[in-house]
Amino acid sequence: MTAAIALSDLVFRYGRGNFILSCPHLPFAQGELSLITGPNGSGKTTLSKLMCGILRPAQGEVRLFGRSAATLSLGEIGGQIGYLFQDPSRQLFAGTVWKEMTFASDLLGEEQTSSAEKALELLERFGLAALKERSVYYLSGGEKQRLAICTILMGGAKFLILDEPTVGLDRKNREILYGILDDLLAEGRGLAVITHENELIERFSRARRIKLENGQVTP
Amino acid sequence: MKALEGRQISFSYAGGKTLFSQVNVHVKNGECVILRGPSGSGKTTLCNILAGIIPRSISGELRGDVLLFGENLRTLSLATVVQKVGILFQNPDSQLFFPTVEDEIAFGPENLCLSREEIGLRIEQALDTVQMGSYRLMETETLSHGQKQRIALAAVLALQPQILILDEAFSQLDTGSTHLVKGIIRQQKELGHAIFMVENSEEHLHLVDRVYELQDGQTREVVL
Amino acid sequence: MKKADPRVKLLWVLLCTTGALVFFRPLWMAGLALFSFLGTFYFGAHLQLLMGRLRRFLPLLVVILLIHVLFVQTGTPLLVIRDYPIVTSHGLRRGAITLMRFFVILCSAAVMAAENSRRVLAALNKLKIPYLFSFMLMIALRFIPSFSASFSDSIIALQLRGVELRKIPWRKRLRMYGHLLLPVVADAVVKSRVLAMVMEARGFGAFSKRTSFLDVSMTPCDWVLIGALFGLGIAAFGAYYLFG
Repeated sequence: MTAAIALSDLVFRYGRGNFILSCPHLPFAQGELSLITGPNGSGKTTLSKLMCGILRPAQGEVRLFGRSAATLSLGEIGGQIGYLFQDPSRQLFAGTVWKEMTFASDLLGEEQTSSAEKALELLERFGLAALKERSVYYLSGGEKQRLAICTILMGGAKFLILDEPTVGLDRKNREILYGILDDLLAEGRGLAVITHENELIERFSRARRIKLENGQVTP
Repeated sequence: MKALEGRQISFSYAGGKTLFSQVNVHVKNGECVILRGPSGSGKTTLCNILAGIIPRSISGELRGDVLLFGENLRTLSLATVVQKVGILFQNPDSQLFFPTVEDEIAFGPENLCLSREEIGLRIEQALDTVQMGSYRLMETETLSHGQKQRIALAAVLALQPQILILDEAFSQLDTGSTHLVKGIIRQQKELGHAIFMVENSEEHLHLVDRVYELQDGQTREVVL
Repeated sequence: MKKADPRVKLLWVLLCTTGALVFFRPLWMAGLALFSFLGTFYFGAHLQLLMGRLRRFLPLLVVILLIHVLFVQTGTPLLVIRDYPIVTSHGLRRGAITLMRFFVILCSAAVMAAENSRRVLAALNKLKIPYLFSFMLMIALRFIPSFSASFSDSIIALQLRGVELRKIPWRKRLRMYGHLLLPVVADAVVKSRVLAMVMEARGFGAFSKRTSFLDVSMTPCDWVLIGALFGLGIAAFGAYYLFG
């Protein structure tokens, strides 16, 4: 089966500094959870951005569902790979929860009824239906995060990358997040989670571990 | 002796509902106390009240008293307050705003009109405490997240406060940096300083002498 | 390369930018552009680095130049299409002056960007500029890259929802950019609030005065440069006013 994301002999260099990230052959399959771990500054976020085409490598190749990421626009990638920023506020901009869910489909001029049905279904699933008309700026951290995930799933992403999703979450929202991850895996979606938290690592102890140290990836 | 005490504290933001009511917390010299609670319960707000940031910088309806070594915070000048209580926030990127490490740590002592010699000494001491002496002239932008938080802590320690408030200071740190910062906290305790931490993770309980829980606008002390 | 006092650089930038605004003759502007270029070397500015970062604004610069060249109808026609002068000598001259003006401003920016902002603050302090104003300016400049990153993240996030920007009609795209600015504004509000709290928590405003740990002092060489720049400035502007 074609890997959702396949990295081959990647080398990435940040413009001004001496930081270099290198990664040998590394596939990510659907239905699988990979935990990308490592100390602060080791390159975890950089690797995650390379995986979804936000950053382009200096050498090597990134393939997404068999196609080279270099030949795809971010819009084309977004239909398959979703990215949750560490601060979900950065990906919420439409005003209310409902407008957030329908923002992309409005822009694309998609058929309103089907996108509205899908949006409502997702909001109900993630416990946000009652907050439809609330401004996104008045949502709690956990609610913002769930809403951001909903907007990613509206785009149809089959593989999600989550950057430090547990930072700032209280106990209750952490448990909700763990449940979401289990559900997404059960649906057959692939997940890559960047984390430095032992609690999450222990909770998903059977997940694949990818370690980063000073920009070197150890699968 | 109670280094930091919040007595019958009630607070609501302007035009908002009451966030908490008649909250009582205290920290003794050499003690480390944790405050836990769900998101939105007001833990950060309480930290800001205890550090004097509310109502000085942020307005709202505040009732009750905060005592620093028995003196009411309302009667103390800003210069006195910042030399008694220091606060470290969650995100180091929001706390560093100077080009180099040295500039960052010098900012506090400069505000207190200390002499250049004294400022130089405090910079050195603060960097030694956080074990980043060799980073003195480095640009803060080039530091990792964990290093930035240590520098933010050094900037607080440069004012030599005897009470430290840490608002989820570990949440963005990796294991190595967390371990280092915990060591600094342990050291501060040994010096007889009082530590008040907001944390939800169970990983830090071994540092702690007492735990408060803030829920539904009330605090209660929890048995460990 | 010697590290000049920030006050020397500030005076140099003031002279260059004033000249860029005042000079409308090509030869004078060319002289100023050369002066600016030499200044970047003397002060150790990374002109190439700055030009690299501003590469994305090149199309905008081209548009501005074209407007200057094409909309000046006076002078000798150089390119005529169906009896209509498209490019004239005056238009070319105006375009060249505009280009050199941008170059002078770029050199000035490069010189200031290469200076430690704390040294600039200390220098402004010595010039009796209230610390609060210069600090505010420093903070604003420091946070610009972070807001730029925040906006960039929003655009990326939108595209990763499956939105191809080039397929969005222009009218909708303008509205879309308006929405994308919301997180930037929200970010700015949050950051400024936290910044105010951190500043106060470190005693800012505790006293009407404050010490400056960093000391900038003028060397004899700096004084000579200041004198030379003053003299040059007076001579250049005087000569331009009288003979330009």
